[in-house]
Amino acid sequence: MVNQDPQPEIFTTNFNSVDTQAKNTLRNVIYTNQGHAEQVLLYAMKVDGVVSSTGVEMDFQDFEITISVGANNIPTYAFDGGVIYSMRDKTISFACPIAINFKQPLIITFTNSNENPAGATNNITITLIGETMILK
Amino acid sequence: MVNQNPQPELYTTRHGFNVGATTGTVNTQQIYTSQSFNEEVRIYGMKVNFVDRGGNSENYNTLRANGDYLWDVSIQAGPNRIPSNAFSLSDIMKTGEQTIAFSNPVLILHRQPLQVSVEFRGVGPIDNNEEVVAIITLIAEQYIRHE
Repeated sequence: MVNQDPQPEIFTTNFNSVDTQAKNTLRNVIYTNQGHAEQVLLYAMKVDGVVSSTGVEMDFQDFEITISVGANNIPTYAFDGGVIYSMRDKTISFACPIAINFKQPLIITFTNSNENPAGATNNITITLIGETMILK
Repeated sequence: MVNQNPQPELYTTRHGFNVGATTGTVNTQQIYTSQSFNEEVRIYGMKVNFVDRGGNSENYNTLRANGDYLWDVSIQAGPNRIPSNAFSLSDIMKTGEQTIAFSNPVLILHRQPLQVSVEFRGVGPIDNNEEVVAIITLIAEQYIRHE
C-alpha cells in the first residue's frame, strides 16, 4: 500500500554464499505489498557481487538473471547478469517498464550454468528500481 | 507474444572461441523473438562482456595483453545486416558502460530471423590457454503494432 502516489521503490534481494564452483539455480521472491488498485513499474536493475569471505569485488561474471512476473518471464528470456555487474554503474535500464499487477508474484532467478573451477563463494545482490502507483 | 504492451526484452547470446581460433573466425547465434504476426521488436542498444571458460572476467586490458583484443560484431535482421556493416566490439568493450546505443532502433518484423555474429579480427591464434566467450546482450522491447 502506497503512502504517496506514486511512491518510489527499491527492491533488493540477496543470493548469499553462492558456490560458483558448482552450477546453481537460485530463486528469491520479492514482496511488493501492493493493494488491489496498485501497480508496480520496474524501470531498471542493479547487480553487485562480492567474495563472501573478503568482501572484495568478485571476478566471476558468467551468470544469468530471470525476472518472473506472475506466470511469465519478463523479459522473455534469461539475460546476462555479468555484463551489468562489470559495468561502471552496474545498472541496466529496461527499454520500457516491467508492469506488476496485484497478486502477481515477483521472482528473481540467479543461474550460473557453467562451473567456475577457480571460483569462490560469492554474495550477489540484485536491486530493482521501480515505483508503486495507484491505478486511475 | 507479449504479456504486456510494450514489453521490455533483453536478448543474450554467447559466442565461444576456442584456443587456436585464427583471425576471421566467426561465431553466429540465432535469437528467437517469439513474436506474433502483429508484433514488432525494436532494439535500442547493445552490451558486451568477455569471460574466460571459467566465467571469470576478461576485461579489455586482459584481452589486449593476450593479443586478443580486436573483435567485430554484426546484426542480421531478416536477410540484411542492420547496421549495414560490421562494427567494432572492442570499442564498446573499452567504454565504462560496455554499451552502445543505436541512433534509431533496429526493427524486427514478424518471421524475420534475428542473428548476431561476432568475428575475431586479432592476429591470433587465441593462445592464452583459455577459451574466450563474448556475451552480447541486446536491449529491446516488443510491442503490438497499431495499424
